[in-house]
Amino acid sequence: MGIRHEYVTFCHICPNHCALKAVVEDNKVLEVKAGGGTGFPVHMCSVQKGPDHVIGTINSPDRLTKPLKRKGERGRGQWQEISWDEALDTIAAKLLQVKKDFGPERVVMILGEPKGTEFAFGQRFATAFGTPNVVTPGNYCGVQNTESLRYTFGSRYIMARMDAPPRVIIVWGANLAHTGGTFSNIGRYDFNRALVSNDCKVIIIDPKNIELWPEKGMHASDADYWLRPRPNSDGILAMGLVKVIVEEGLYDPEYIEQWTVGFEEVQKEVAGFTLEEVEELTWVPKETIQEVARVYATEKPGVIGSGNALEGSTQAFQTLRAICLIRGITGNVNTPDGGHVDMIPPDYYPPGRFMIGDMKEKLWEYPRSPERTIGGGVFQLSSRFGYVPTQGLVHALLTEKPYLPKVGLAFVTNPLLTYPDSLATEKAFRKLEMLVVSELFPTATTNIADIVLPAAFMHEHDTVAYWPAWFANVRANRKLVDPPGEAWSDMRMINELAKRVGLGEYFWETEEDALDYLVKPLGMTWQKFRDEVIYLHGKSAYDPDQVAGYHTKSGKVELSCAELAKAGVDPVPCFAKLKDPLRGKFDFSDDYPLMMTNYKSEIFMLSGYRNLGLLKDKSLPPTVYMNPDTARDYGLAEGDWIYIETYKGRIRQQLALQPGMHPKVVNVEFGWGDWGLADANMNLLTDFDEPWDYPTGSVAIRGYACKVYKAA
Amino acid sequence: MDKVLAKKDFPRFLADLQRDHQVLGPTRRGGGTSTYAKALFAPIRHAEDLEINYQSSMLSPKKLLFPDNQPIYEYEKKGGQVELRPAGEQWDRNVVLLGVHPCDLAAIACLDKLFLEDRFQEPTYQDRRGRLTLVGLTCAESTPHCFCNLMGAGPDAEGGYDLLLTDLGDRYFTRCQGAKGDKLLAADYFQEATGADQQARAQALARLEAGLPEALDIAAVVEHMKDRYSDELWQEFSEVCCACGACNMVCPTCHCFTILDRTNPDRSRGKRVLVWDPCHFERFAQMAGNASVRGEKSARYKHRLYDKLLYDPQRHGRLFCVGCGRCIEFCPAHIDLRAVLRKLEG
Ligand code: SF4
Ligand code: SF4
Ligand code: SF4
Repeated sequence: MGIRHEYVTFCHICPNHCALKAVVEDNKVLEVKAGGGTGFPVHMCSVQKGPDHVIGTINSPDRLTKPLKRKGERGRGQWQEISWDEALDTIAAKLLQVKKDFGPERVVMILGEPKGTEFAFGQRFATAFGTPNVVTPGNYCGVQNTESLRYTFGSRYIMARMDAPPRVIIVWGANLAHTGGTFSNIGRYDFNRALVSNDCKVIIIDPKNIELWPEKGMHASDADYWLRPRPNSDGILAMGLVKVIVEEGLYDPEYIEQWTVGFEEVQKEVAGFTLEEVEELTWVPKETIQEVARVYATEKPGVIGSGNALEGSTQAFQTLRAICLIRGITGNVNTPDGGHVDMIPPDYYPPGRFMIGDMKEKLWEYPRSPERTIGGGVFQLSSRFGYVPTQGLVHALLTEKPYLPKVGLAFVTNPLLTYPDSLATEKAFRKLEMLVVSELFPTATTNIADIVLPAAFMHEHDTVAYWPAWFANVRANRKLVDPPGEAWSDMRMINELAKRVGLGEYFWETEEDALDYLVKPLGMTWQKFRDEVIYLHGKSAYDPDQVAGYHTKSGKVELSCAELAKAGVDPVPCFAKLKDPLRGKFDFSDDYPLMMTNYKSEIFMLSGYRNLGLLKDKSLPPTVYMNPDTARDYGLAEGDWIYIETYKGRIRQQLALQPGMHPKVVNVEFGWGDWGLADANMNLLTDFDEPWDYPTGSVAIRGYACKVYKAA
Repeated sequence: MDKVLAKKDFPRFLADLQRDHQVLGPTRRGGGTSTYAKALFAPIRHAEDLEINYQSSMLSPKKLLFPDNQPIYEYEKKGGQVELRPAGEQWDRNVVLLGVHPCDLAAIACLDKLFLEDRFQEPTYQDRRGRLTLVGLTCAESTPHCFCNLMGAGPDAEGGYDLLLTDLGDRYFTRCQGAKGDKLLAADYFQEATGADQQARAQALARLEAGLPEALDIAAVVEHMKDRYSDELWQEFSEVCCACGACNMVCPTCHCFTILDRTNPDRSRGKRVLVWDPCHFERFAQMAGNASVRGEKSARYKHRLYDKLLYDPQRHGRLFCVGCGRCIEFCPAHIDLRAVLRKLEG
């Protein structure tokens, strides 16, 4: 018997990033549990997916263990095992050939939700290689929340200030009992405490009767207010709330005068519509809008935890901007009695700096200019944030405009399930001359790859974890056990690939060298960070005596934002345009009388880990929710397998009834599609094509008119 | 009286129950709103709705008899007057709770002591309890968290049911207690139980017992608790507790609550509600002047166990832990109550 170690590590599934304790012996993980008592944050969703997915993935028999090369036709699932040398040499030769014959921009880096350092490494490789085409799902994940904060308050790191119990919490499009998914990081236990407090009003804005506290059986319908807006009408609702606050004078004129710019423009915008219109468009009664606005404006501190669900719409950016207006006008950010505060992250190499910071000459050689970038002229802001929107790539491949990408390098991402419009995505990806996918498990995307690289799980190699960067913390995820078979960390793959394409000087001999480089600004080595420090969190800029200030150009809260205007984006959210996601191809018709939205599983992470027994056993099959009365009208009963159909296609999921849901809403589950459930894939219902959210490149992933009928 | 019910006749039994009752039982409904596939007690319309072989539920039947977020009354200011309206949610039908495991039956017996037999009666509970028929079910399998045997609450149920089913493969052994049970057993699809049925039942329960933790002297545990109030073991076990309150919420016998007012912004109308309140929260024991008698989480952890194992038995004459294991299963820190008991036993 070997020595038994207990290590601290962190779950990466949701932004809570709970500390976990792993018991390891003889290169085997015996147990993983919540890291209570470690001194690091533990929120722990009730289904405890953190511990389960770590031990489940490490011990899974489904893991990819050898580099694979496609044999025969694409998508036939026939593979030949090859050596790492052959795999990397083949990829390197292709990269160099494409760079020489067509230019480096024809190589596309395709990244998913960052786990460890693979995202930053992928970005860095792209910079060094000279391609501006880094495709990430940032276009509907994270960017609208963080960038609207930055344009409004001058910082992405605006968090909920839970040190003083808030007197009102709005949870908007987030399921924080299960995922810690609000962008202001309301801790689950702080939230639980608010739920049994007489001093805090809780307002839930969600089409779903989400669980607020599963162990208590407490739902949105038990909160002070549960608003169920029409999917993708949230921006209109936010502007309705702004209107009430502004027109009822529920703000502090002195603060507005001294600390904000653009109040008159906002006043003008909200004078242009009525609350009756807002009610009609959002389905939320006018009186409720008034009450919620009054509560939020008068009870302080007030927190709005906005979630990822708000980001998948063609007006996503302005929707989040409108929510920032509510926070701003009520003086809830960086003020002594506000609910939100700026965090100052620890000084490691944040991904932005790491991706390009010390490679300026490469950027001069290969500028990230609009002409060279996919969708460069189309999206006003996305290139500033360092990504190409996912559907931008699909569009470029299908239309061959501005040019046809040739090689795709994908790291731990499954576009064939997660990009809108799976059929179009597959058709597009099949046009790549070479698709390389690094993965833990076989997926729909590895299935059409040319080369599949077996990736080490983030607990099978040392890595720095920092995502989501706006939570302002940095964590050491240490290696617990060896990866299975010949799996490598992404870091190692990219280091080795870089050497083979002549870019070794920008990368590292060993992984530890790279990690040392990343944590160097902290004034320590990786080893010290990993063994002694483990976790660093940001510092709060809160000042009990005065307004802590704003890092915007004007030094004030930019209710109207000149920087946006300069980029060709509306400086104040435009009410008329906020109606766009409700119109045209998204709107109801005789054929499609219901409205589809979607939710993410409480059990899994996005499309991942759906093969792991521990998690699978805890999950229902693909489940769609409807109001019982609507179901009855359509002759459907609880437990029926039903088709949900939009103009794009149809999927099959099992019906569960949810009293209280809006009768027109059909809430399907996102993320299924692998492991024999291809017909449950939500993205068969969505469209990749225009209209898009032009500032950030978001695209509608909910809010499509649909119909439902029983599956045979 | 002991009888057997052939499984093929189960739908008839269910239909008969449904005629005069709303039937609630374990379903695989994912907590009602989440896709978490834990059993949930919910209305049963067809036999297929029943997840009769469920292992355990996250929320116990406490949720039905003593609901969280229970409206007590509503008020509205009208001119100078305040109008009060009772808002308690009464059951309008008699209810059958089907498939309740022995630990949860024992827990209902605890709540009965507290809400029916103590100095104060809880009206909602009293009303619901009067309308309730309990059809218990002995477990087919134990979970890794169960320890009903150590607390004398299982695997067989001593009482607290109207009917008690035991799965014997193609039939249910059915034991009854009291008049409600007698009446149900009078239906013609119940057959007299034979000696072989009795034996099969005993064997099934013995098999179950074999999978449960090895015996523990609970009397000794309770005795030792009296002297070990200041022991460091409380510190040791609670060190990893993150004070989330999950154990309180899922516990079928935890019954502490607070009263909240849910009002509109100008407080001109609102609702007074009773909500479950976890003693693991620091604020729970906070008093005027901001003093907290249980500021340390070890004190709160300790208090919960003293309450269940020492104070409640003194007050109500029975242990208030039934060994259902929920607080172990849902504790994010994996704190194992059984380990605490073992430590206290020795
Ligand atoms: S998924 Fe669960 S365990 Fe993981 S970080 Fe989020 S709350 Fe914590
Ligand atoms: S203390 Fe734990 S094991 Fe005992 S009844 Fe409560 S939840 Fe069940
Ligand atoms: S469930 Fe566990 S961590 Fe939570 S309060 Fe109870 S003992 Fe503490």
